[in-house]
Amino acid sequence: MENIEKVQNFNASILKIKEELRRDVVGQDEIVDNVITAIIAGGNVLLEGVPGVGKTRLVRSLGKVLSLPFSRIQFTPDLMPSDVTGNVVIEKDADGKMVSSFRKGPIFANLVLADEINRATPKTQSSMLEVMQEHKVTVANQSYALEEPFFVLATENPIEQDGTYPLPEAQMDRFMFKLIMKFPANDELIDIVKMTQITMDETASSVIDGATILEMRALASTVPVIDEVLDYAIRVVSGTHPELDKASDTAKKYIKYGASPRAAQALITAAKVRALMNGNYNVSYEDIDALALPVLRHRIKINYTALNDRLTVDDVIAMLVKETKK
Amino acid sequence: MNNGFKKFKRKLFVGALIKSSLFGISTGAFLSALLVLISKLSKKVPNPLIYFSAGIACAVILTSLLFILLRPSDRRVAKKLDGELDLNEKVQTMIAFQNESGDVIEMQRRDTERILDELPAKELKGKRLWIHLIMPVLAAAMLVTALLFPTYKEVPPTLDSDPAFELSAWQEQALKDLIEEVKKSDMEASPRNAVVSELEALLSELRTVKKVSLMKASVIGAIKDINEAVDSHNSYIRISEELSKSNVENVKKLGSAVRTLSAIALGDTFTQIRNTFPTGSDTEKIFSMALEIRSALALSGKSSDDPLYAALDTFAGTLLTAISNDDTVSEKVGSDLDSAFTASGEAVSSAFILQYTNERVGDNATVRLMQIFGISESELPEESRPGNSSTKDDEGDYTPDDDDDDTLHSGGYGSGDMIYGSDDMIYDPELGKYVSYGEVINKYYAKISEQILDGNLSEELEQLLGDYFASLFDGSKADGE
Repeated sequence: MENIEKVQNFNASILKIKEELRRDVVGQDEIVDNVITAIIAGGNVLLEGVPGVGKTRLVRSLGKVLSLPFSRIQFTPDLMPSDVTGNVVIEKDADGKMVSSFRKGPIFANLVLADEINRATPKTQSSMLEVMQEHKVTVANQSYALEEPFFVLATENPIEQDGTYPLPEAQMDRFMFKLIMKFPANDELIDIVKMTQITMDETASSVIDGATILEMRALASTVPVIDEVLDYAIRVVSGTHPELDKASDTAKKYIKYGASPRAAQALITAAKVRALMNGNYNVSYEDIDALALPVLRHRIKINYTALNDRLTVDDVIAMLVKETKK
Repeated sequence: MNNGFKKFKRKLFVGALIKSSLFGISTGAFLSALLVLISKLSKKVPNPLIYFSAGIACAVILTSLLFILLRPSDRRVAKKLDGELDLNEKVQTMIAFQNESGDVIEMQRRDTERILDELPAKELKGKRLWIHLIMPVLAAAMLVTALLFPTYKEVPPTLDSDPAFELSAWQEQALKDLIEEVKKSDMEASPRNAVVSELEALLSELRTVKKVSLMKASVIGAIKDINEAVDSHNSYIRISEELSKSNVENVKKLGSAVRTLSAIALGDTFTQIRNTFPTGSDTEKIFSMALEIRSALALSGKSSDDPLYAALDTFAGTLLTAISNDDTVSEKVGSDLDSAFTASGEAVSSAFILQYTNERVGDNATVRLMQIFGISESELPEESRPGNSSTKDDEGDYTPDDDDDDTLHSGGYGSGDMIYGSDDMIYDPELGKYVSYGEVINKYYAKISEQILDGNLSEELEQLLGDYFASLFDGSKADGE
């Protein structure tokens, strides 16, 4: 009975999270699902969307629902790494002695919104990304661990590209997903306006806590994956490499360089969470197919042939997935 | 393993067995059909044991092999279930992790088992049954067709009822040789010329004849004409017929003797007749006899120039002369009668030889023509068959004595050192010409002797051949013997 309970709790928690989030975030169901997936899977998300579509609101609301401390970092070109991680300050203690102490930066939260991360300098970006990777901050040779679960949702503004520092591919790889938040549909916009006329504040309630998230993460990691599905995921990822013998025709034609092994790891980890979220107890081909876009779109680079054929990254990934045999 | 899974596995197991069997049996049937067809097209009678055995063996082997390949393993069943029932790899996961433990794994297993228990087996639809039946139906059709395919039966070649004929070189040469032989023979001029003309006409005709039937007709016609020429020239048969009709006994006897064409018979008959007039005083009988002879000769229709006619006529005349003398001394009459019989006997015998020679040459020509052109005796009219008008003793009352003069029966024509039982000329293919029988027999005897000396023949055969050739040599006669 215990394992049934655990799984039932998992599904119930997911439902609650979604329900609460819908109170603050209108539409964007796929984004919400993927964000929840990423959090439970222990990954980070890169969110691309025009201003005002609800990126900050989503993360803020998520923090409330998950009862997790939330912080927002607005990246600007003059933002320094210490502005993100924190720094050591000299101050007087109670006895009046001058002592140094570490003042934590905004990164020290469970949920961090790194807004317009591409506006920060590469140095600041890298300090942020290092934390994302290691879940700790090292300042003056002192390491400060971040509390789990730690989740970063970074945003990129696709409009204002002047004076920005696009994230290098190596660092893009640290994000489990790249999600594209689209402009809401008319009916959604109506709901948004109506809702925000009442209050701009998030109204979602807390339903779970960080420990539950960690439990859910642990449970999701035990979801079984058969070798055939694992092999399929591997072939999807390796199929993005045009230089390989077994590269797909799509890759050879449209891809400049393919995804790293982290993509395969992300794909499987996320697929396990997705399977459980959908009430399945095993990873299927469908899970892999559904997560291929968010996992791969920021990890591959399309070439001029694709641009010439007016193909987007998403188009190329869709072709690649279709080409890979199950 | 869960019952739900088992029921699907069982269904697939049976399906695999049926598929394997259908395929195996179909292939076996195809093979049998192929073997039958090959046999029949190769003009051989197909052996049912072979093609059925081959087909059955093929069916068994293929069914087994295919079943081994197709038999559903748990993984194969799971994959099929997931694919056809859209179960999102649930069953495959259940099978792959059946020996693993864990909360989610347990849940996954139970969930999948529940689903499989709830699904009826018929949910798993394979290919429509009719698709699996196509091959067996085709195989059966092919086998039936092969079995019904007509067996080759050797049809004997249709003989041309009238094959083509062309006069060969050796036939032409043989015919020319025959013409020359007849020309050089002792045949009387008139029949000889007629026979030569016939043969020459035949040669000309055969050069243009194109069918065997026409050839045979021409040759048989020539044979008939040759026999007619000889028979019409020879007078002995007509004369003997008329003589035999006489009321006078002696004249009848004379008729019988003439019929034999035998000088011996003639001599005996003359003696008998002479002895009926021991004293020479039976002038009336002698007179009657003479008149009857002359009457018969007149009635025969033959020419008085004919030697036999003339000889018999002379005989009758000398009889009349003998008794017409006024000499009443019977010794004188008797002496005259003796002279008459003696002289006439010689004359008549001479006439016999001429007519016998005519017949022999005619018969030989007939036999040679039959040999050259492959005509059997049965194809000839009876009267044209060789020997039908010969001096056999089946006609007339004459019975020869033991001391016959064989020289007059030697027959043949031309001369030779040895005259054998058969006087036929035999075509020697090695020499390319007709040779006397004697030359041929020596050659064959030499060959047989060689085989006997080499020990190549069995004892029985040696004895048989030795006796055979001995009989041939024993029957041989030297000229003049």
